[in-house]
Amino acid sequence: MRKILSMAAILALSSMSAMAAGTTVNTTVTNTATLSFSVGGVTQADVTSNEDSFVVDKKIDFVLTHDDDPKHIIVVANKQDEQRSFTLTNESNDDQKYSLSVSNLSGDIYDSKADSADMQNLEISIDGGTNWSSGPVATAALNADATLTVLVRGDVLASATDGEVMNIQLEATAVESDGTTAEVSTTTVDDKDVVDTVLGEGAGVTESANTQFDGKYSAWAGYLVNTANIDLTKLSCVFSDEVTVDATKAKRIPGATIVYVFDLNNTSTSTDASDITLSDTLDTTYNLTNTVASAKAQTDVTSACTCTYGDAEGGNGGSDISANASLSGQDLTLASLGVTKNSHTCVSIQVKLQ
Amino acid sequence: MKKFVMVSALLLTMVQANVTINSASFQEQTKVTPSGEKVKEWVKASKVVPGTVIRYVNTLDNSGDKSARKLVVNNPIPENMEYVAGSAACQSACSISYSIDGGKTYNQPEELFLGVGKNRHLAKASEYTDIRWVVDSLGAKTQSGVEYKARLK
Repeated sequence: MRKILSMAAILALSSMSAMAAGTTVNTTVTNTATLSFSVGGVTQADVTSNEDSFVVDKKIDFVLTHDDDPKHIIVVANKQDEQRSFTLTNESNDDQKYSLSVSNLSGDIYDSKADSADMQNLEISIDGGTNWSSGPVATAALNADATLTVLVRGDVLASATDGEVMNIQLEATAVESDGTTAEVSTTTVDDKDVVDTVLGEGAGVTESANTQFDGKYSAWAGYLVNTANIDLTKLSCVFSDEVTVDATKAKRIPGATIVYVFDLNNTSTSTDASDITLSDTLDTTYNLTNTVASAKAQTDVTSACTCTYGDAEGGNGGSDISANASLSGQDLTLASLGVTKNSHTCVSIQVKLQ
Repeated sequence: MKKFVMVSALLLTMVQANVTINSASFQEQTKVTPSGEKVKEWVKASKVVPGTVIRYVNTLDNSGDKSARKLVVNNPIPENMEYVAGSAACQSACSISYSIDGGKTYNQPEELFLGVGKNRHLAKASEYTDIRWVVDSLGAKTQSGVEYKARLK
């Protein structure tokens, strides 16, 4: 009767289906053989072997991969909550809890884009972006064979410059239910009837910190800053002093019309800049009557703006932007300016010396 | 008549060889010797996870006074295990065949087909359900063995 019961138990256990991640932990595997033979031509009674069995131990195995393509996404300075996506797959033969940690990387580690800056305020979401961790650490529990999308987000520094690269690493660590790091069972005498734990995961891509069978797996993603880098240079020259015949030799005397040129130089090779507002407080010695009406802008200039004597725009030409210019007292505002990558925009105004 | 029955019973007793079969499972383990050399050895299976290869050894022990002949060992491959191709072996002269129908029929690998029509294909080792060894003979007071390897799914 006892044997019948044990056989029934074995059948019940063995009927558990194997998963993609492997046979479920704690499954009993039993081997039995039968023997028939003859002696002196006489068939003997069949003989059944013992039941040799063991229980399946726990194999912690998991993979963390970066989902997005390309590896580096384009960001601009001061961009907030820029997301990258990862997938964590639990290939263990049991449910497993993981600690997730995101951090900045440094140095030239993975490809031609050497890390040169850090992302700020890194956070993790395991629910598709509804809730975010209050710091760079989170935990997640996955059933066997389950996958989880892990979102990571961070802020780009306002001071980030064109071409800077920020690489981040997401690392998953297998942990016990109490949060301590999962470890290989260290019982000195192994017991075939007791479930042990074996770490069977591979090495993450950040090899230096991650080796196989250490309960950790990491993946990385990057950000590439493509932002306009704008230098501003202010020049001045004389259009006319109403006295000197050769205007190219006009002097800054009372009544002279002075041309101011603002040279907006975008040194970025990748990113145009738009919606630039230029503000300047003009000196009280100026008569500003014609200032707004004279505002001009010349875009896509390949060399530095000039300020040529005797020319209404300082030698830069350009289209009328008076609609975007305004004066408030001595404060001049020039709005809606733009400068394409790797070029200059030359903005000119006129003021008259009182 | 009574004497005849007694003699027959005695003869029957005399031809009863006492053959037993014992199953044991092992797994390969790498050990480092004092000299630092890595050596692989088969140890009793105890730390088994998906992917682990188990070596099953069925030991035949004839403690009787007579040789046993045509010893047929049938071994269903355990649930959750898959046979490792070419691993079945014997310690003495034997023939080996396989089943893909739960032990109803046995045949050689090249004769084992599954599926019908376009799906008909030569069975993979992982699809075998049972193994049969037929050992020619086992002398009195001797041991022999048959074995195979299987991988935990």
